[in-house]
Amino acid sequence: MLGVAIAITLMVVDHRRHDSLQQLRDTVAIVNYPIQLAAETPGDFIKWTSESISNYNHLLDENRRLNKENLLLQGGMQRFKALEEENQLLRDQLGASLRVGERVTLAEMTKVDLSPYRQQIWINRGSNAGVFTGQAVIDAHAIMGQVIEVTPFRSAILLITDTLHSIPVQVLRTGLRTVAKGTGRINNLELPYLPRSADVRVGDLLVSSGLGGRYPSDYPVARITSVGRDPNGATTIAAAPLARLAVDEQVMLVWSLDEKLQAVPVDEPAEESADEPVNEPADEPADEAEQGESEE
Amino acid sequence: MSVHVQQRGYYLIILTLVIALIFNYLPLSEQASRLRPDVLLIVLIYWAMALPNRVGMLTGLFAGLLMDGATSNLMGQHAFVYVISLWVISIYHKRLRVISRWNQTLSVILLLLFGKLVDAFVLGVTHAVIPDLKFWASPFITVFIWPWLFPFLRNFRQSFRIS
Repeated sequence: MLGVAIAITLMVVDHRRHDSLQQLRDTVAIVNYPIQLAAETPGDFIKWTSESISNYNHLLDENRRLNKENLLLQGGMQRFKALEEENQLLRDQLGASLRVGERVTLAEMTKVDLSPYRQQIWINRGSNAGVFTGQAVIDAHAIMGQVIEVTPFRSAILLITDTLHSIPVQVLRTGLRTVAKGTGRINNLELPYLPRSADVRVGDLLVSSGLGGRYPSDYPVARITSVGRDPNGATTIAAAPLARLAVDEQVMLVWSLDEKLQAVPVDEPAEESADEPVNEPADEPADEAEQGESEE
Repeated sequence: MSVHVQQRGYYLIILTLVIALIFNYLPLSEQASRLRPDVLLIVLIYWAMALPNRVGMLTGLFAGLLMDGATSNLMGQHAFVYVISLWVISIYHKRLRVISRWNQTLSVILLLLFGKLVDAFVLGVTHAVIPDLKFWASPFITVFIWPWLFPFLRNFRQSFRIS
């Protein structure tokens, strides 16, 4: 009976005041660590075996392909660097503050996922590597989610598709700002706060807007897959995340070098004239959602 | 029955529990992990049934906390389920030993379903999600596990004279 009392107390305390149990979480995480390593060994072994017996030609092909890809990316980066510098210069002249940039660190998904309804993954970096709660996580394609729990060697990431998650986004084509909410399904986001008149088309790219300060701005997030408008005025807009959330892959943790992420004032007038009724209701839920998360 | 044998027994019980925990942590695809029953609870139920004076609610509490640490669920959720389950077993362990294998399986399924019910409740509170029918499937996989796990663990216990 004492056990039941302890367990119930823990649950209530954890739900109300998540941070107060961090000590216990860390202790449990350290005990769990060797067991989790043991659980991951078979998968790693299979991967290692298949890598070591894959033949020479295959590796050569892969090497050629990667070299080519690298060359193309480097080429693209040259232009990007020039543009970034030019952009920075222009913004300096306008007196607008801009973040300096971001630094990323690689981590691997350990994919010990025990709860299918929660869109969460675990990665093999924790507070020892400087990971902090609320940190943005991306993969090679787009934003994946944010860190919600940090233990010494591992951290849990809430994916953008979790029902608890909302991310402030911007339609790249029009600059329209809104919020993309998770649906609990791995390939689906919804955009619930848009009016019928909103200019959104299938195929539009959504990038992070940087509002709320949680995510760095201008990273790709998702692509619109369907725009449905019913006669009552409600819109049902769905988007597919661009990050490969279901695949066991490497992920990147993002550190913003300048923490002061601000909405650049120069952008505001141009946008508000275009879609004023949209901006106001859209931005507020974004902030609420973000704050809700930091409390979690 | 000397004290030393008793001491050694504890390590062996913990070993089986750790193996069960490894099975629970084994990375599987999303579809497969939905069908994975809580093997740790099944093994705990066996020990609580066979040796109620050694494996009880306290063991359940610690094992549950480990499970809670590995999932980012509410801390104490699994601990709660394990403690309640082992409490029920501690009352009915004599009856459970003599009933047929299939009746035992049914009891284990019921306890695992209770765990799922708590999980569904926690999901409802934290995520506002009502799980679908597939969510309740994993405890029934026990039908394929208990009938061979029970004799296996009993042989294990008898061959190492853990009592």
